[in-house]
Amino acid sequence: MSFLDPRTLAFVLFACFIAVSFLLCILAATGNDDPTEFYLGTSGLSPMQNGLAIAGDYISAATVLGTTGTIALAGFDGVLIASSTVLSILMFMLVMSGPLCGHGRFTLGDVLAERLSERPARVNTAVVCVVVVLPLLLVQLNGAGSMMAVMLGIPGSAAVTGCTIFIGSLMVCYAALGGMKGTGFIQIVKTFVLFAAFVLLAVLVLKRFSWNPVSLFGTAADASGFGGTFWQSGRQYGDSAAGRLDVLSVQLTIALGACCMPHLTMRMHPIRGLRAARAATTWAVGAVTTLLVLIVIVGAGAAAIVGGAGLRTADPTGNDTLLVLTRALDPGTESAHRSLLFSVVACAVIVTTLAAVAGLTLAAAASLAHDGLAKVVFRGKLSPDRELAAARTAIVVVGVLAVVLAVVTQHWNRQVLLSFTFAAAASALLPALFYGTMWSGFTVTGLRWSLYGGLVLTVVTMTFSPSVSGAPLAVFPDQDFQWFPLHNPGLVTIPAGFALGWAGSRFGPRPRHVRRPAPEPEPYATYPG
Amino acid sequence: MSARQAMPAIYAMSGIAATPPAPAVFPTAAEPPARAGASAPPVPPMPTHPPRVSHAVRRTPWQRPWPWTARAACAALTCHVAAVVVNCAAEGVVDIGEGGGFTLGALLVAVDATVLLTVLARTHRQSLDEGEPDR
Repeated sequence: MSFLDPRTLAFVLFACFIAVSFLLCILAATGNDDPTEFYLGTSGLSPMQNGLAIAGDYISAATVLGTTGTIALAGFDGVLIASSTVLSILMFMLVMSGPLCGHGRFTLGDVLAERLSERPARVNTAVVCVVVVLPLLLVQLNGAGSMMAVMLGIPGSAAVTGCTIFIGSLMVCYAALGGMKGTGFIQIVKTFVLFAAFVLLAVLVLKRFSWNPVSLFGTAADASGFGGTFWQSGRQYGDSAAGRLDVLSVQLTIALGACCMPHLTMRMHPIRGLRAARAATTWAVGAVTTLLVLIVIVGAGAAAIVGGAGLRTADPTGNDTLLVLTRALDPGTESAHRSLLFSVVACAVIVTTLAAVAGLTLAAAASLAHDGLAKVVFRGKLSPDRELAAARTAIVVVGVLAVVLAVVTQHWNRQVLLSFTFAAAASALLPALFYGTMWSGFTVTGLRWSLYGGLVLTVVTMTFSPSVSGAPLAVFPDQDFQWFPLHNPGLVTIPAGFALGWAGSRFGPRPRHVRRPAPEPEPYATYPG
Repeated sequence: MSARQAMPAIYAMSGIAATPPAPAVFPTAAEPPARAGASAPPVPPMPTHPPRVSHAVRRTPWQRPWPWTARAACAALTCHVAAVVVNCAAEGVVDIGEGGGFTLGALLVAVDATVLLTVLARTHRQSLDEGEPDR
């Protein structure tokens, strides 16, 4: 029967998701007639809905594909990455939710402009936000494009390029139509779809091992090729001193970098009140933790069922581990796109990616349109209609730029772009955000030093790291200009970013006193009479 | 009543020594106005000037007591970094179980997870607690 053809079913599932998500976006778009509703549209959601939307933003294709692959190929180091992701969202809940929630702010520029000089705070933050968000956008688009090409059974680079452009167009439509509310709804749907897919995979994996996790992890260690050392640290970057420092660096980078990404901080702005923010983030932590436990089971299952050698042959970076596992769990089919399980999982991953890229595009476009254009170029005199039009134009610009760059970087190792994104966020954005919300002595000079200093340091160290040259999995494997020993520079650049922010505020020029209007009348009574 | 007693302000402006008028008496919380009923809640005294902030008691953020969220975040980060460092430095093989596979690295990972769950539970409880202010 043609309807039961897995390829057709996958196509129908994907089309259903697109139809539902467009419907949600159109429903959300009915109220998007002013910038406040466009940027803060999720203020009416319950804490659980907000929490699931935050969790959806947190769990990108990088987490789903990359972490699963690292667990399958490197064992304990992958589990540490999963735990650092949980720690990251915990830090987000504890440290960021308080200063960021409420107050009608749209972007990080709004947050920093409250205490610093407005124009430099907005311009510098917007530039760094776009630079930080774009590489993550490329990773998601590339992942979704290649996954869709495999799901449809179309081989070749041209098919991947076509699928990437299609996904990019959908992303622009979602973000431009739905705004914050539309992308929030899509994130909630995505969280449920992803949960369903990973519960199914974990059940199938555990069933193979008679529902015994000890047997699963033991078989994974035996089949990985590392034996008993599979569940010890050092398999990802080697046993050298640099390799061990690299593991620590990755942990710090993920734990501190993911918690200040603009598309996540933007989700906190619509939530009114600290209590609601805590409740929402508690839901988010619970959802992310549960999903990561499932990811650990699936990753170990990939190592146990497929084996380390098979996984490395399929993709040495580990990004295809999930797909290889789904094919192994459904061995009756001769090719990937003929497998029903593969089609369902691929559909879930594409949905994940689509939702993530919509949120990222919205965050980058908000920085450009709201901070750059509306507040700096037009000095806040833009009418609501024109600001909304500017936001939608910025979404199209960011989307087109991202698709072009994604096509160019199609064959790059995605881990490099991921490392750069999180390292740059932790080294540049986090110090600025931390000092800007918690230290009254922070100045514009400190902001510039931390933002640009952290970013430049990250670019320089990444450029001369083994991730870019001098290694088989590097971006340029045939060239060797590396001198920085770590794949992930966070161990050096994160403290440097904090030190630069402090030094700039302490030793840089002091700002002239700017008289600002009082935010609200003083509560003190006048003299009686 | 003499003219001096009737118009003290005029006499004061003219520099003529006058008997100072009795100070005005405003109602306070201790003395509720007569028209207030016995069931009415006591009215707090109306402040007449901004509170003075003593420079002696202003402290840097490092000297102030940290909120529990900051302490919990630091504890979670410290536990995680300790677990990673121990596992990286000694591959977790500081065996405290006499060869039974129970290592210091595993212990620290367990502590890490416990801290995380404790913080999560406390946050969940506080988010339900009506006593926490909204900001």
